[in-house]
Amino acid sequence: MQERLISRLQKQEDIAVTTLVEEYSPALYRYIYCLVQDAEATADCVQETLLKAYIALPRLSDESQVASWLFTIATNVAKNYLRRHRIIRWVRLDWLPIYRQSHEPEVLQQEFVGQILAQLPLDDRVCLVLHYWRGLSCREISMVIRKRETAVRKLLERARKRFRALCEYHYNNSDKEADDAL
Amino acid sequence: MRYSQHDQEIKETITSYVQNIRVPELNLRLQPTRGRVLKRVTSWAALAIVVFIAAAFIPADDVWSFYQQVFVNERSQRVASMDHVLQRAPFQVWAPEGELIELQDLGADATYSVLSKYIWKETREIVVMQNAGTSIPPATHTAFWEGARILDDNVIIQGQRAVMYETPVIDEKGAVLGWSRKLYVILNGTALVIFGSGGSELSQKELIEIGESLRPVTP
Repeated sequence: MQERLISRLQKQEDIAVTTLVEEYSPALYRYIYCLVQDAEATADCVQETLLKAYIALPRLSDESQVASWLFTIATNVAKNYLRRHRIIRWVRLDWLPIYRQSHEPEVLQQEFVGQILAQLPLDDRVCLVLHYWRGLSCREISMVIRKRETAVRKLLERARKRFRALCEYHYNNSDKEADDAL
Repeated sequence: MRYSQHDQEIKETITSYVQNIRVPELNLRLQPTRGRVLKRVTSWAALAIVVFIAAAFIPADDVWSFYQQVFVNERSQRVASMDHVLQRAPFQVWAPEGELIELQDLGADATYSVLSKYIWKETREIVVMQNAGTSIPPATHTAFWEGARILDDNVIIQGQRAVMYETPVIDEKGAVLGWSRKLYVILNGTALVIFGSGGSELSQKELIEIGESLRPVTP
């Protein structure tokens, strides 16, 4: 099924491209959102990713690597976006503690994790999301971010430690805030 | 893939986070987004409006003058007219009577600018310069006035103390070939400094006469 899709994609058939977009755009959106943390920018980046993929389709050689190939493009697009926009960083108002009381616990948890991811270096975010969400191995991640497998292993280890440390730090602080409020 | 207990917690946290990201209706098209084009157009339009407003309210001369002050060494800028100099000069300026033939400058390293060149009595070329330094030439620009010597430093011209120098004509090896026929008038604060040729070329009387022909102008 997928092989047939690939050969049709390489001919840039409209229906095949539409299938590709429908199949991968939600995953790409979620992945890019983890990196850039901005809905509007994410939508732009997804479109740019798919546009670049469409242009590069005839050069796609390994038919079994469509997903990692798309995530590679998405990573580069997100990196470029962050490089261009690193001067200004928007902080959502509802991240501030004063606004938290109006949210549901699930929403709080969601934003809590987002906040922690946003504090990690970009490569750490890429490794964590691709490894834990997409289930990619270090070797597969190394192809996405174009680094050696051993380097990715170290990156992932460092990302884990940072993620855990930030979680603990924020949990402790939020407990303290709750105590203070009481 | 197997995960340790800690890894399992991280996996659950991240997976739950990613899966709960709300994916909006993307409405993707394989062409630049309207938003991006709109942003670009808006940016250029805003820039054009700013430039238009600036052009409407700021005279071009001021913009040019600002450019000169910022990007060009002001000391060496060309002067458009004597009026322009008079407006800017912080001290009393001397303006010669005669025919204006040229406006130029000495270069960025000079502490004074050539304001104008005049033909005096159809025979002598007078170069009027403005000194921006605190000391009188040739100390301010020894390279240009190398070899100059004081002809008379006790002359009164139009009630002002004047110093007269003569400047040599030097060949490539540094030998003095003679004395310059050019007369340089330096406007140095309220003092008048005249560099001129001495000896048989131009007498002291002529120099004083030339000095008298200059008219002081108070800006």
